[in-house]
Amino acid sequence: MTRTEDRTPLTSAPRWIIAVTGAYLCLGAFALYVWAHASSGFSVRAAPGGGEALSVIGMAAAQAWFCVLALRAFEAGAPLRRAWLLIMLSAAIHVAGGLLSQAASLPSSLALGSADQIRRTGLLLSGPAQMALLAAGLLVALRILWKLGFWVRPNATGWAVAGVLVLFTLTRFAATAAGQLTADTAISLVRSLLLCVLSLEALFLWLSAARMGKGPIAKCWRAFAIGIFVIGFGEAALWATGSYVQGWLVAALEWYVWFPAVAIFALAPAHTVAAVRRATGRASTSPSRLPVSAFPRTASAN
Amino acid sequence: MHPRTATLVSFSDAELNPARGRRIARHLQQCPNCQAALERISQEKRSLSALAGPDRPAIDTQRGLAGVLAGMARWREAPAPELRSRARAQIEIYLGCGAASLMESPDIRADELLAKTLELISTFLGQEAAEAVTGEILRGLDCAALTAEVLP
Repeated sequence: MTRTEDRTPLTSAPRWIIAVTGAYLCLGAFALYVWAHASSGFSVRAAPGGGEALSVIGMAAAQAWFCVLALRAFEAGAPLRRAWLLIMLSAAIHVAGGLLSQAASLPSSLALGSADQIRRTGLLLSGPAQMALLAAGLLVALRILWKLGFWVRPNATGWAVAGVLVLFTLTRFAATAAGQLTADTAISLVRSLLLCVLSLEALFLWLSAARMGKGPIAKCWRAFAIGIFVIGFGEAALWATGSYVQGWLVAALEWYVWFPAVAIFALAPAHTVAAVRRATGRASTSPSRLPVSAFPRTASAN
Repeated sequence: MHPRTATLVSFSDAELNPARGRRIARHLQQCPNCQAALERISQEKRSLSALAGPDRPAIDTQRGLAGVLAGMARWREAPAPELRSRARAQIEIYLGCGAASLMESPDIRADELLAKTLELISTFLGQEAAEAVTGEILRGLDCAALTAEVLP
C-alpha cells in the first residue's frame, strides 16, 4: 500500500508547535543565563497580578483554534464531538481569562470596573472555569475510550500515584483553608481540587493511550495527560517553595511550566487535526470508496 | 434414478454427449425435484456471471458444481486476508500497534475487523476521515465480492 502524505501546514502542525516550544525554552534559558550574569543590572518581573504572559495566552488561542478545527471533523451527535466542544470552550475561556488579567494591569481598565475585580474574574476564568471544562471534556473522552475497550485498570504503581495526588491535594487544601479565606485563596482551593480530578483523569488517559500505541490518536490523548502532569508539577513546585511572592520564580515557572503545558495542550488537537487531514488527503479519489454505513457496526460508542 | 448434481451442471453447460443429454432432458420433464435443482444451478451461474471481473480466479466449470463452488470459495476468500491486513495497517497508522492487537482477536472475520476499524476512525477522527480510510482499505480490492460477502 503506497502512502502519499498530505504535506499541508496543518499536517505538520504538531512539529511546528514542538519547534516553537523548543525555541521558546531555549530563549528562556538564554535569558536566564544573561540574567544570572548581570542580575545587578536589571530585574526579572512576573506578569502583573498573577496574570498570564501573552505568549501563554497566544498558545492557548492556538489550542482553541486547533480544537475548532478538530470539532469540525465531527458531525452533530458524534460521541467525541461533545468532548472536543468542552475542550474548545476550556481553551477559549483560558484565552478570555488571560486577556482579562492582562487588561487589569492597563490604566484604562479602571473604566471597566475595579482592576482587582477584573483581575479576579480573569483568574477565575483561566483557572477553575477552564479546568472544570477541560475535566468535563476529558471525562467524556474517557467514557468513549472505556466503551471502545481501551480502558486500563491501573496497576499498583498507578494507584500509588493516584494516592499521592489525592494526598497532596488534601494537604494543600488543608494548609490553604487554615489561613484567612479570601477570594484569591478560594479560587486557589477550587483550582487545587480540580487539578486533583484532572490528574486522576490524566492517569487513566495515559494508561489508555499507552494501550493504543503510538499513532496520532494515541498521541493526542497522551498529550492531554502530559500537559496536566506538567501543570501539576508546576503547581506542586510553587506550593512547595511557598513563594507566590518571589517574582523571578513565578516568571521562571511561567516560562518553563505554563507555556510548555499550554503548548502540549495545543499539541493534542493538532495531532487529531493532522490525522484527519492525513486521512482525508489520502484515498479521497479511490474508485472503490464505500460509505461507512455499508458495513455493520460491531459496537456503539454512544 | 435422479442424475447427480455434477451431471446437471454439465447439462446446463451443454457439455454432455447428445444421447445422455436427451436422457436427462426426458427425466427433467417428469421430475420436479431435478427441475428445481437445475434452476438453483442456473441462478448460481447467473450470479457468478454478474460478479465476474478480470482479476477474479477462473471458475473451474469442467469439474461440475464442485468446481463452481470451489471457484466461488476461492474468490470469496481471496480478498479477506488482504482486507484484514489493510484494516490492521490503518489501525496501526492512526491508533497504534496495541489497538490493532486489541481489535484483531483470532476469531474475528475480516469484515468485522473492517467494521471495527471504521468505527474507531469514525469515533476519533469523524465520518469523513472514516470514509476516506474505507477507500484506502478497499482500493484495488474486489468491492463487489466484498460487498456481497459483508452485506447480508
